[in-house]
Amino acid sequence: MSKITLSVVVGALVLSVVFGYAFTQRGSAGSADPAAVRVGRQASDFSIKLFSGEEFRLSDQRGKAVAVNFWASWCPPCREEAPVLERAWQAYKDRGAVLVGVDIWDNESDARAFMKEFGITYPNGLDATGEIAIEYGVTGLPETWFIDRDGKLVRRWIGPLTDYQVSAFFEEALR
Amino acid sequence: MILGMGLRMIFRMNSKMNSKAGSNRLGKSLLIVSLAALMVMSLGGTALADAEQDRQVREIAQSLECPVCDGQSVADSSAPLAQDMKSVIRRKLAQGETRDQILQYFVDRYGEAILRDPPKQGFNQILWGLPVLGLIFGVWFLGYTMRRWSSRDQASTPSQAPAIPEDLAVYEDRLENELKQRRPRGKRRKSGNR
Repeated sequence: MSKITLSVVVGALVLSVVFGYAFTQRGSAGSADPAAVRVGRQASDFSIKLFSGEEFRLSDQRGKAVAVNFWASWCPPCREEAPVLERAWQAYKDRGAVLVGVDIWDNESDARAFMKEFGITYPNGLDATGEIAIEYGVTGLPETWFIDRDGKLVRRWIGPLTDYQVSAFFEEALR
Repeated sequence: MILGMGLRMIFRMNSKMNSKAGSNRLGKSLLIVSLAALMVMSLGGTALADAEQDRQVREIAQSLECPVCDGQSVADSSAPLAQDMKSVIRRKLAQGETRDQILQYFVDRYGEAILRDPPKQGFNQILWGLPVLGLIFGVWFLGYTMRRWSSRDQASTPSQAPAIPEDLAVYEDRLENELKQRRPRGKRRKSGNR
């Protein structure tokens, strides 16, 4: 083995060790994955004025399984998801589950029209300043955070939910 | 407060002037001019404070990567999320939070990927250190290669090179001998044909 080949091999080995160490330290220094930053933590409390005129406060829901869904009327996947969420609401609202829609980057009249179109009855409100969305690290729509009975963030889903996913969460959380 | 002090001074000056005959008109004019000046100063002060806050908002927003854009900072993006983030920065600055506290707020929600300049710790330390490591390796490799080239050049200098002509002489002799051996045979073949 020539001297130069030996140097390259040793260099590659050193780099592998350094990268290996760096990856093991990565979790403690933070992660690029927003979900990893939040899952397992206590959900930040928020309150939102609902389209019905009532006030919704997350901390008032302690002891219930909560799904917080971020959506907008102009978002096509949100249209796909809306009937799924309404079905889930009808199935679980009397079993200790809460579903709240947080409408962001939208205007109220469009949001109301959207809700009417899909016959949405679960609580919904407009986050006009986007602060709730930022608090929950929202990057796109639709996005849903699942919160357990203790108020801990247990799951995040980016994209439209299916009947199976919503049921699976509520069934597990309400067991 | 400054405006109040200014007004008190002007009223005092004005009342002194009023005591003198014929100074009424001058006093009023002075009062108006002074009031206008104070208003301009006060507005200018507010504008300066706003400009300073705008600068701070922009500086912090420049340090943040827009989470829904491609390679754009929050400052440069017009996405609704970026606009909301700028409002949050402004509100937090008004509440007296520092730059580091505000950046940490976003890191806690979006991860370190939101920072355009990742902190020099953990995995990021490697990212910062890699160019330096690369430079050191490059300099070493260049030096090593140049040393090899120079030693090869020394090995092929003319003083040590006469081996080639000697080799050539050997080959020339061999060629000459072979040609000599072949020539008579050719003559024999020619004479035989006759």
